[in-house]
Amino acid sequence: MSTGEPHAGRAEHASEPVAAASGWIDPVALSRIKNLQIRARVAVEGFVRGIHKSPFHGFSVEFSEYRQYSPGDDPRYLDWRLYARSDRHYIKRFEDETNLRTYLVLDSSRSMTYGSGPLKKCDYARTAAATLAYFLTTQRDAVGLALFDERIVEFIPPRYRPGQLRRIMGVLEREPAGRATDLGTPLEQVAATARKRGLVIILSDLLAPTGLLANRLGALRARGHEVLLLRILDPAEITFPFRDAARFRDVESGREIILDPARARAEYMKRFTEHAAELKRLAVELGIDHAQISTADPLEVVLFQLLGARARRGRTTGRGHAKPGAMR
Amino acid sequence: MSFLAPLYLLGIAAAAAPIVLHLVRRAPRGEVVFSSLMYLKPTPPVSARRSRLEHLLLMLLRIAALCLLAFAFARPYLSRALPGLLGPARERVMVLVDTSASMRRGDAWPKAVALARKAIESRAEGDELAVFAFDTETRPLLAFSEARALDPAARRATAIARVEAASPSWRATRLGQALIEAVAALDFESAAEREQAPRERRIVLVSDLERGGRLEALGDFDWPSNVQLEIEPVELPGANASLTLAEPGRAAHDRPNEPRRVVVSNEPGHDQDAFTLVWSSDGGKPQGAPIPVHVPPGESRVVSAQAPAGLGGARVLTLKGDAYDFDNMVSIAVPPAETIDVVYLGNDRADDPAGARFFLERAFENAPGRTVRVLAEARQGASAWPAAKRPGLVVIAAEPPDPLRSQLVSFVESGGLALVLLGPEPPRATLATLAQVDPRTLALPLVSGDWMLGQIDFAHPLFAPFAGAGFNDFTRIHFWKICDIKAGALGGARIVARFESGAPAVVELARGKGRVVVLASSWRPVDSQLARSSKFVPLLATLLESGAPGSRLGDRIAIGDPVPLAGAEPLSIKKPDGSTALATGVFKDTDSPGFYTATGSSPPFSFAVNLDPQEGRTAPVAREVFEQYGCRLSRRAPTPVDVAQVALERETEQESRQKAWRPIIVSLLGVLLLETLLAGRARGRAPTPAEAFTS
Repeated sequence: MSTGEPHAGRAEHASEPVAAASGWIDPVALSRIKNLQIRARVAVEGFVRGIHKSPFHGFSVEFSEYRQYSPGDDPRYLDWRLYARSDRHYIKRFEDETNLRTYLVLDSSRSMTYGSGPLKKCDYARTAAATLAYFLTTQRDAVGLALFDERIVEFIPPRYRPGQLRRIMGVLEREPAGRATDLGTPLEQVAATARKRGLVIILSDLLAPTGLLANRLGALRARGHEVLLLRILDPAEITFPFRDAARFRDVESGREIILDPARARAEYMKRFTEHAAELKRLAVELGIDHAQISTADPLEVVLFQLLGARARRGRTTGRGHAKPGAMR
Repeated sequence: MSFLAPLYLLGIAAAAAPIVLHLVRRAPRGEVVFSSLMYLKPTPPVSARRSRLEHLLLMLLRIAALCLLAFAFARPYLSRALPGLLGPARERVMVLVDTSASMRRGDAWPKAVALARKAIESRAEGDELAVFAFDTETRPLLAFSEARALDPAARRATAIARVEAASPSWRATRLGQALIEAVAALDFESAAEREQAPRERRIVLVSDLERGGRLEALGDFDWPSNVQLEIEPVELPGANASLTLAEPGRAAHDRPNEPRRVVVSNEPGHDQDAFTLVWSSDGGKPQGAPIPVHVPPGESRVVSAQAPAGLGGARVLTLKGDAYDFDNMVSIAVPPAETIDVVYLGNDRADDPAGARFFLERAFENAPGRTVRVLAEARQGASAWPAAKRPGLVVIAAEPPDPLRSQLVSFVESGGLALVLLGPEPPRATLATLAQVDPRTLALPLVSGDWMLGQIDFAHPLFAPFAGAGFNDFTRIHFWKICDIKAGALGGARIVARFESGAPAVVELARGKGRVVVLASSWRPVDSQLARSSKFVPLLATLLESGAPGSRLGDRIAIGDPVPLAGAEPLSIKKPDGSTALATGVFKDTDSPGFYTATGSSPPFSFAVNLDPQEGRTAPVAREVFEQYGCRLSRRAPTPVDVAQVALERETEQESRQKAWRPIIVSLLGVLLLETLLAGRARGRAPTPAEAFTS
């Protein structure tokens, strides 16, 4: 079976050596699984499932409290028995588990196609998005997807229904064709579209100025969304390991400069660190979970730590309470 | 260390190119695709010391490659002094000058002298020099031994003087034989001289190299490896046509006024194809109408030329229309009609077909150009044979009367020829008298049986005409009754033929000036098949002619051929140029074409001598033919002018033998391989993941 979709058994078999060696699945080995859904399932099986509590009170078997009726409340929720006993109108409230509304916002700009090794950033990001979508679907959460470069090029509203996961996987399997990265416009569009509160997971290399990013992320937070910022980077972008002089070409703009890496490394690392610190500061200010991920890291480890930390923290929407550093 | 093409060493200057190129700082050629340049700004590379060192090694390798390439193209070699290459090499040189009749054409001889002079003058003083001339035979003009005795300074002048004193003869060319003899003369020296003599030998051949030069004599000759043949061809403009007799000697057997067949040959490339034949008497004016002949170049025509009436016995036929006239004339001597008497001493009748006389008379009937009478009137008691004049041949078949026997002895002793038949009545007493042996010891027993001739001496004049392969079969002639002549019974007789039993069949005795031929049988039909065989008539004709040689030679003699003469007395022979020579037995001085007249015999006779027919084939032989015969051809002698050329050839030979460029090219390939490896390594040294991916 040289062509066609590999089945689950083979995918598990392919990941076995790496898993056996380190206990975790090597991202490169994971990327060899062609079928994104199977890839996601393999990744999901590697970490603990998280539990999301609904921020809403609604229909549920688990009683929460009574509240005195006030005009405008839905009369359907009046407790008529209590009214019979006490002649007062009370509204019966339940605490119910409900669907988490999750928006996966995936960067498909040209810079995501970069990879110093066999694994490109976009592959890693797609696998991560697919894994999250699969995991959330198994949790009966509604999952949506927004693909962007300079604007949103694909949008699937979050839903929990049959076929949703397949649609998401279909969109994710497309190769990125965008050019530059511009987070401002897409996040504005997401904020305008996602009216209901939910979780917004942004997967991007964030190789763009942070100017408008703060406003857009702030707008999302203002609408009650939880925001999870996953910055996916190639190891070469983190360490800049080049040694010989060469012409460096920007994969997005095509601009070329002649560079002696030995001399340019210090400047690069300085500016890179400054940019990362700026992003971190921004995230802390806005109460956003922020994580920087290298494509060399095993995906399920990252997701495990990320979601594990979230589960431990519970539903925290207050500003300044996020602990992004706990994820790494 | 020397170089065959030292100019290529200038290519080493190209080694400066890598140095310049390495000094020029170039923008890095490699390209790295990166996700974003937002953290980067241009930083042109500055060479580090380490990379400069590595590039220095690469540069040195590249310089080495260019130098090796230039070195290989310059073709170096280790020059070794080869003995006798360029120094004052001594050679043993023979200048061989053609003096054959064909050198009489136009200005061939002056040209030959000039070429020989040039060849002699180009020799160094240290060379051993000899000059030989050749035509039919090779003769020294200046032998090595004579030249060695001369003062070295005067040697060349003497040699030139000898050549200038020589002149072409009328003889034919025997070039092959001359070369063989020249090679032998080059080697002809004592052991002591051989030690000192130069090893290199050279024959400078000055000749017109005509096709008729009989070069095929070289066929079996093993040409020595140390003898070089240098050809100086005598080149003449135009081509030649020649006239030769179709059947030399035919005139002796033809009737005087029969047309004569001649061959007109036209050499290839001749611009003439229309000729005429003109008859004349010896030294006289043309007679009769010219006979037109058309012969295309490269072809031959046989023409029947009818001589005009009244032309004498000495006739000349001349070919007109050819520029080179040395071979345009044939002399034809028509012998006068004569009557020869043959005396038969026997007892059988002329009309008895069982006897020997019957066949003898018929053997001489219809002989062209002469009349033979067989006289057989001798009987018991006759005191003399009936011939009025001296007979040409006496055939003795039976014992003659005593008076006749004494006449016979005096006849033979005075130069006559007798044939003794040992038939049923062998003339034992006569034979014993002629052989000067005791009759009582001469046993001639008759033996019956069946024999053939088993051993024949074809070198003897009697059987010489039958020596050819088509005529030498005598096995059909059976002999049933023979006389067994014991060995030594006839004294010092020469046995010309033997029966297959080994018994003598034909014996020749010399008595006084004459000869006696003994046949140990007879040609009677009961004795043998000889008379009825095809050999009988020519055998008797040959026997009769051998009694009077020279008289009927006609025109069969070519220049240089010996002419047999009858009798033991010297004959005075007048040559075409008017000079007179005395000769006895054989006349060898046939050195010019024309008519020769022998006087002193009775009657006087004339014969014609003509040019060798091959001498008219003057088209030159190609040099390649000499090579095909194994001759080691050389160019001209290495005159001082050619020294540089010779030196270059020797250097080329040395270089091609050493082939030093091969290891240099191999080294060059090794350097290039090393350079490629180093360059590849320098470029791909410690590849980073990004470099590996993007490259």
